[in-house]
Amino acid sequence: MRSRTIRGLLVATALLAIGPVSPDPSHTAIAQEAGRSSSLSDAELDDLAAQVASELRCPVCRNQAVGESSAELSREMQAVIRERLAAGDTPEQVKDYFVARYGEWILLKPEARGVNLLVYVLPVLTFLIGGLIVWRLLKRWSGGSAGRPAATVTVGGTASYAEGASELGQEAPEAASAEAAPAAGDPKAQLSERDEAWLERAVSEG
Amino acid sequence: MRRHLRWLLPLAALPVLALLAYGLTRSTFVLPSALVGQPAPDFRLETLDGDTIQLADHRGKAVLLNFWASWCIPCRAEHDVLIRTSRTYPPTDLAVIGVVYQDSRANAMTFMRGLGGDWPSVLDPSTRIAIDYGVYGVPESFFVGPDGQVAFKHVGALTWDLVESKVDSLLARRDPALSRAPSSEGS
Repeated sequence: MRSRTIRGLLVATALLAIGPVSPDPSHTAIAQEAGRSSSLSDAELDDLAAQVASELRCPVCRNQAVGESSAELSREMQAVIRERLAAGDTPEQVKDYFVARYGEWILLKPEARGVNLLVYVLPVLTFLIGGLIVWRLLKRWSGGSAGRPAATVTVGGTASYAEGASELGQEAPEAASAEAAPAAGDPKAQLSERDEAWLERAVSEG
Repeated sequence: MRRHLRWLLPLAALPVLALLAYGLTRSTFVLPSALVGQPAPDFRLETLDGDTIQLADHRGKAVLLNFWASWCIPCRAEHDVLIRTSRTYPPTDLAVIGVVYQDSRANAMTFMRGLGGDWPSVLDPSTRIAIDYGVYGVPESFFVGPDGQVAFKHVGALTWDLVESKVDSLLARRDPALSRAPSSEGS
């Protein structure tokens, strides 16, 4: 029962869809008289024109599409697009019309052929090669020094240096075990002392 | 691997740097015209004085097609060059035709009366001829050869040196057909 209702609805929808397509004789006559003419409705033409306008560059604003621009030239171009579509041009033919006048520059999305292919291929290629280099470097770094602690950088520096040294099974130097009393000659210790002083200053100053 | 990378990375960077360097030397405002070497789109339009001009009628001589507007400052700057051009070349050699771009007839006429110049300017309602020529601003000038093909496009104010060199080269090319040109236009 239910399936019959659904079938009925489907048939009705199909009939409604076919309805507008069946040509009005008077309309067909006008279209034939005018030579080429689009069979699209006004709303369809508007949609198609908007789509073409979104793919063309506004020659005045440069970084905007013709469809988004309020420049007078763009508005005229929108009118040209719609007129050409209404006259029976395909969207490709309309775009070709503008390319023949403004060059391929007028297309916001360059066509993927010839030198333009670089635009599409290079980013992927660069990403792949870069990824390969990073992967190889990471692999080498991790493989070459397995026992080294991951994080040896702390503000103090000396403590982690000591920890790192002990983890590697080495004896920690005197300066490191003495915590905040670094040896004068040790550049690393000097650096950590300066870091601490800077941090204290930064904290007190807010 | 490391030895290879040491050479490979700078080598890979070279084309990218070259591309960037090339980009920096280019002016992004000036676009090459797709019409150069192509037939100049024909038009039949009304002049400011109410006459009608068709571009195809000027076959056999060079044409300087100048898109301009009264609100455009560089157009004012190049106007003296156009006056000199129209006085230097006889009308049988060169036709100077102005195309008024996004401007009213009244404003354009006031401009021409104020600055002088006796070459015709046509009105381009709805900017269709400008779009036909791929114009994106004013002033823009197209040098059309006696064969009706666009030979050169200049964006921005014209200079006398540029006009002279372009027109002379167009006329030099015309020379073999010089004797035929007037007779073909006789009608």
